[in-house]
Amino acid sequence: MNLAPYAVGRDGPFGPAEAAHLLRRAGFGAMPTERAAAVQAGLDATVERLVAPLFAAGAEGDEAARFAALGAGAAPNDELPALQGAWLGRMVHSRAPLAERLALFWHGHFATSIEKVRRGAAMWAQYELFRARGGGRFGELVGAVARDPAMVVWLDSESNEKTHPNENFSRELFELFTLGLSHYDEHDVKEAARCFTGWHLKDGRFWRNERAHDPARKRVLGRDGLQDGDEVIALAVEQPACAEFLGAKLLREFVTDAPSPEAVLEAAAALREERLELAPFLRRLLRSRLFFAAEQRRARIAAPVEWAVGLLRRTGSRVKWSALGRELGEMGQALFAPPNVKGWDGGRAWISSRTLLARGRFAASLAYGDPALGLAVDWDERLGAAAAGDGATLVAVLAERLVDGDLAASSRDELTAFADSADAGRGAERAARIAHLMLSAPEALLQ
Amino acid sequence: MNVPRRRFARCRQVVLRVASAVAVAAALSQFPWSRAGVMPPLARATVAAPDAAPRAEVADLAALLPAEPLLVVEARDLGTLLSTLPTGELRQRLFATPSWKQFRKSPEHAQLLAGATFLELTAGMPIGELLGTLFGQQLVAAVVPASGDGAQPELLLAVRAADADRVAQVLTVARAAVTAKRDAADGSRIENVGSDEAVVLQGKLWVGAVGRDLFAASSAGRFAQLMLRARGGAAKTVAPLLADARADASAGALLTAAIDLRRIAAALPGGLQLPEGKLDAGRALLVGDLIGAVRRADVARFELGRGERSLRLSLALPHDPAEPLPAHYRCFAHADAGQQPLPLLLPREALLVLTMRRDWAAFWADHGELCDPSAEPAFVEAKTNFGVLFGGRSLPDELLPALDQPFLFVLTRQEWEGVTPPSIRYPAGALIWRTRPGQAAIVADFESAVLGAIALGNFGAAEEQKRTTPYRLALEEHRGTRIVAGVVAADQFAAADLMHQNLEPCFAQVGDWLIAASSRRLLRELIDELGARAAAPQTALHAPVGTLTSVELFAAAGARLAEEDRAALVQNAVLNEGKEPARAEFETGVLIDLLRELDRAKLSTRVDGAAFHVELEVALAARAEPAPRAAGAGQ
Repeated sequence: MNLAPYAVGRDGPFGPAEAAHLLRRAGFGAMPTERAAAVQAGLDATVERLVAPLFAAGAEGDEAARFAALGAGAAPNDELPALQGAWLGRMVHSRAPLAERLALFWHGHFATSIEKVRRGAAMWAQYELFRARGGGRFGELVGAVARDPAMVVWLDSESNEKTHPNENFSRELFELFTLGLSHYDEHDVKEAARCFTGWHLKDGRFWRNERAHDPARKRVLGRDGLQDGDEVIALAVEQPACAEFLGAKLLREFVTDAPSPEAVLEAAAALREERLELAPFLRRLLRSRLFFAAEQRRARIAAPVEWAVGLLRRTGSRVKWSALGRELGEMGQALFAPPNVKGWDGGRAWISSRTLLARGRFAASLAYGDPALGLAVDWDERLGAAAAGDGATLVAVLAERLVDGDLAASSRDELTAFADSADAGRGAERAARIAHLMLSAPEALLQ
Repeated sequence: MNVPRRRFARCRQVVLRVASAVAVAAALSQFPWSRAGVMPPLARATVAAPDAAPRAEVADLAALLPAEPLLVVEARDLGTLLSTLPTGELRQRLFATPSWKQFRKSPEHAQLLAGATFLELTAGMPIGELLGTLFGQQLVAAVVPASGDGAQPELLLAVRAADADRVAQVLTVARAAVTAKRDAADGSRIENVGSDEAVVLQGKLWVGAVGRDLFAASSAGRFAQLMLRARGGAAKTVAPLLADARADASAGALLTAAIDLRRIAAALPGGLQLPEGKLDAGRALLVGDLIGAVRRADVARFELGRGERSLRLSLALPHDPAEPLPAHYRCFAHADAGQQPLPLLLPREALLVLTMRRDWAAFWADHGELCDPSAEPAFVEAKTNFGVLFGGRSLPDELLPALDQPFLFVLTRQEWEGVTPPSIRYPAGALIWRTRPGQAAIVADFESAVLGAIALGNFGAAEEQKRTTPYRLALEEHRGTRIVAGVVAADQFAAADLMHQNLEPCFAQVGDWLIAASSRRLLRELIDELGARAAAPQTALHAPVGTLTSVELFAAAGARLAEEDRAALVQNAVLNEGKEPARAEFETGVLIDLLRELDRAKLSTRVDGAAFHVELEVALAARAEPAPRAAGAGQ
């Protein structure tokens, strides 16, 4: 029973390690004080604190809200770096990190790129749609996305007319959004496309063009009499395969890069019980035995955005947000510009020689400071007396802050020996060197 | 602010000052001379001047300087001006700005207040008085060649204060500060130089006084020389470098300076390194002749003057009229500058007006000598692109030779009557050229080019599947002048993207003037203005005779535009510069407040028969622009 609740005490503790794991996966990581507070509050309260803001307005906090306003203001300018910067700033400052993680998940799931859409306002509106409705019913979310102007442009819905249907959206609806590669055939794609004819835009807003719509009754996924796109969406979402498809994706996002078939089935069942509503499902998932299983800890390669945002939250460094967006593109994850309709593959695909170099450069920039990126960490201020302390103290404090204390014993010993040597330098310079080495270690890439 | 709050604010100030005084007293109690019972500088008791022997004062401090300085600076009555700064109009206006009121709530303000109070207590006089003393009634400074075995040029400074007591007080404070650092490794000490006592600051500056004259030098030898002359050594005359600068100075100049360029060039191992031939095209076009002028000038003279609410900084580079600039500077048309003054246009809500005189064809021909070689690709690209746009016409051989020397560029704040303004408001701009006689045919080329550019823009957007409202061609007449424009239809304006909302490429010809603008409204205004000039040339605006380049910024319109775009400015500071939102908002507020306090700034170059001049003038607004109401601003 993978999704059975994790019973604190019987199944294991809810201590600093468990709290760190939860806050990493359901957010972007946390400072030592936040982990301690989570332990103090307990598992249920912490999960509730993570999930509740999915529906609460204003829960993200003033600083994050400021970045939201900046993004909305920057959107008409169609400048990708500004949009990226605003979202990243919001992530770093948000007191509702799960809402941002979920928005990021949906952004990859319903992958839409500004490269084709060309309208910053449309892209920002789509992101806000994911934030607002990402924790709700999946079917309703799909319906909203189908009407989203950015999606209409992205999948050429505007050229889908009864005289010449365009199958782009209907194909991706089944293959990428709801069912996966099987569980439908070409006939279903064609017929579904006819249902979505006339789903156009007018003055940048969704518009049902009745003149272009094919009102005839069609047969899709074995059901007769469908006329409209909403019916197709409802039908697709109620397919058993949808829950399995979605469940597998959510497990890959929050639990493990390679979920077992049993875990997928359990997740699917849980989703159906919750009527494909994300918030209650996540509540169950984040409190499950599967989630806290030992083999899931530090077993998932952190996506570039999660990794970089997490580091910025932990170090409190300033940054030129627009430039950060570009750096993340070098690492393989450019917000608002996924590489194709499938979004980002994730997992091992995050790691290549090029992207690893980019992560290494960013780690160095963060540790030593980088005027081009506006990065500057005052290690003396952040670490206090530990910056001048012995090697073991310095390494321990940095490890707690940067990697939640998860450092292999051998790595810890080597770093301590180096920190005590003359080569390491002194004070803030020494702290920067140790931080750089720690962030460059393989462990730092794993969530 | 209500009465109880005022009282609280005053009490808080008093508490701060008392606390600072206590802190100072506690600090001063650590000074050894204080323990020895010497009176601290807090008391304004009479302190005997170092030189008690009566002597005749030198009439002109400048006569004490060596005869051949490399650089000399003289300020007259600057101390009087500076002494009024802490209490004058400028301070009042600063304190009335919203930014200052916000700054007053910050910890930095408390630190500043404490620091200022400490300084006043230490010096024993208010800051205004301290500034007045340090800058005095006359201040002269010079950089002279190295003496003895020294390799570095040396600095000399002489200040005449209002009275000897103030000078003695300043010296006493300096002496006390140095004495407190008795074992300091930075070289600060008291030293006897000849018969005089010098306070040596960080081993770099020797300071002493004779009567009400304060002297400083960067070596013991120069210090001794100054003191000896001050005490009535052999009479000297004012250095010719300064005497000539004084003769050329305007009446009431605050500060006069002169640099001996020839001697400096001779003293430097590689001569005077100037970036001639190393500029990009833009800089070369704007300031290339300044470098040529520096190269052929023997001296450079600076002057700082003031008007009722303005400051003016001037640079004059005298030259031998018989020694013209090299041939490759012909594009700057110095020879023509005195014949016909440059026109000035001043549309409503002007932000910037640039007028200049350039021979465009000559600049292209000589750009190899004026610009860095890395600028060459830009010229090649321009030739190709303009060739495409102008239907195969050659930019350097056909288009540029058709253009006369006067050229203007204006930027204005846009007003949005009848439409919802865009979320970010750009200024409108216009380029204005005059054609040479007999070049009317080029007008058709420009019209075609503008139409082509509009069509190219639409086509390019469609090709990239960019979903943007296309420009449609608009032809209209304004006061008999045909306007060719690309416009967004009124009913599509709201749906258009930001660039299209802000930009309407348009073109018109008025007499022998060509105007390419980004807004029809601006174009119509310029048509009106050029028409009025033609109808009544005697009342038309012109730059002063001899002007080569003039750029003027108008702050009031700038303040209004910055207020409208406040959110965008903050957004840029946060997202692109990484500033904290609160800091970005504060700094944007400071910028807007600054613009409201200013009237204009103007930078110009001109020639007369004897010199090349550069002038910068900054003027304050007569009355601060009131802050607009919050509703509608920055939307």
